[in-house]
Amino acid sequence: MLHPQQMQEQQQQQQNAQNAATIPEHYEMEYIQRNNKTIQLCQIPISILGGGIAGVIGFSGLSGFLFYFFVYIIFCSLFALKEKKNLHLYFPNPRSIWFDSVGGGLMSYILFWTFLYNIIHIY
Amino acid sequence: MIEAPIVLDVEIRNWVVIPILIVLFIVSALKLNFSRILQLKSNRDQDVEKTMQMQTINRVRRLTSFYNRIPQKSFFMRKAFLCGTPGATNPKNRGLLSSIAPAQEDSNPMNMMFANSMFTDPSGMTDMLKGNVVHLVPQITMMSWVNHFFSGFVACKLPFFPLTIRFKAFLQRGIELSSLDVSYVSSLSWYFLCWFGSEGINNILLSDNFVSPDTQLFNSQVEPGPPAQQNPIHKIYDGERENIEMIRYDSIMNNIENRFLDNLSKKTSLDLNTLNNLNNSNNNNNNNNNTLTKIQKTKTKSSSSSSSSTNTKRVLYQKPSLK
Amino acid sequence: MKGVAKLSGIIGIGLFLHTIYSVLQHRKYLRLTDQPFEGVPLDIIVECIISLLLFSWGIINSQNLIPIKASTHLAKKSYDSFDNRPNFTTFNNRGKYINEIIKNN
Repeated sequence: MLHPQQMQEQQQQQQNAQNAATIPEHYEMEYIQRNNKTIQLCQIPISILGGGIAGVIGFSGLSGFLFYFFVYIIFCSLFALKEKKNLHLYFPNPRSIWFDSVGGGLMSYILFWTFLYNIIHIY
Repeated sequence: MIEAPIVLDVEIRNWVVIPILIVLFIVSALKLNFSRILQLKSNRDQDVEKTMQMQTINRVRRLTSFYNRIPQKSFFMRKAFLCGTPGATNPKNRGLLSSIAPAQEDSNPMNMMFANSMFTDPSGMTDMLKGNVVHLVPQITMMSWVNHFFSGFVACKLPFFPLTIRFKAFLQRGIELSSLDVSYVSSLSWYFLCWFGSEGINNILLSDNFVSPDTQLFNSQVEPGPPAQQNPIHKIYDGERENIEMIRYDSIMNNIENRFLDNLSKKTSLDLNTLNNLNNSNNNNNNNNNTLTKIQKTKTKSSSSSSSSTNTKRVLYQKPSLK
Repeated sequence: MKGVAKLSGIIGIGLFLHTIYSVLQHRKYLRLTDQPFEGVPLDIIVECIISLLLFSWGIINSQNLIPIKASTHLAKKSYDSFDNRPNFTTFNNRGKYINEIIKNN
């Protein structure tokens, strides 16, 4: 068992090793949150439209959920395509956009999927 | 599907499915605005002492995370102010963080939690009550509305795979047909579906609009404190004091010139790997020092043996002196 | 660029509404001619996918992201504005007396 002071020293040494190359970047939490919000702002309308399309085409069962993932992948790849190389400017972890908000629009998707499916194919 | 699909009446669509959807959106919008009004009212008066304590905690946390960006002298001044001088007997010298004497310890942890959370100040109670009223009452009203008026028939069909037979009693409330497929559901289930689905839409439609960054910066000068704490305040203070005492001061500005020059030389060396690694971290340096790098580039071109020398330099500078 | 993006988003929504209408009409036609319904025709599916792509492209390109590094925002501010602290502004100064004197004269 190490003394807390020693542990602190070790941590600091590790930090120093990292700091040696560059000054660590200071991120503003507010802007990170706002970017996440922007992603949500894009994602939910897209999943709503995707749900509508799933309803129009008349997917039922598992294929509808597969279509949701298809829509999600379209969304992510368009997003990555738009920002190409500056993604790290906007997100501390650029790869997280691919899997961070998978379930974000799922409920809206299901709502509109059910709604249009009923309107077109049931009534 | 082998069995013939049930064709539902169009009147059900016009008078049940679409009205429920619209009413739910309107009610949730009203709910959001109402709760915002209540919040505005409840925020008006706050305990001065509590606010001061919150601000102190904020300040201490800022110091613990950014201590390496201020000069050594200022850090020790802050430390002396917050933690006091070691071995001081005079209560004035004991520092800000040990100024609060522990209140009479209650042996029962439940009592303590309650005492500090809400029962001491009635505003917390009323806030909770308000929140409950705002969120719960419309929900119950809507559910009873849907249940009362729109029960007893199939309202819609779920397109996704049918749930197990156990959900039948819940999903087909009021339809006593044992042979009906589970995916046909009554209006109450449609109501729940709308409820969950509308949350995302409310998020984007009704949430606060974005403020431009400049005004945001201006507004953020009045920082909100951390949320109300469950722990008694002197315990938090103790924890923060220990955190500060643990810090071994080491400025980020140590060796800064060497590291800066090292970065520049690394960038100009033809090693592609380091270039890629540095590209991420040095982007902001890049803009300011474009001219410098150009100069450095010409220098490296002229001296052919520069790459080896920079390597040795890098090793030297990566180990800052640990005193 | 933003105008184009918004336009494409609107076109996407319009296409989607058109597909709803055409599917409804298709089903009505089938019902009237007494034919069984065997899936949505291919042209409508293609139209759906095109509308999805257009809409997604439009909505993604009409949004702005903010750089999260603090240094990029601080670099834009001038030193004077950085040193400005609105909390310490005093409004209780000698100005009102001077104003009175000016008015009286």
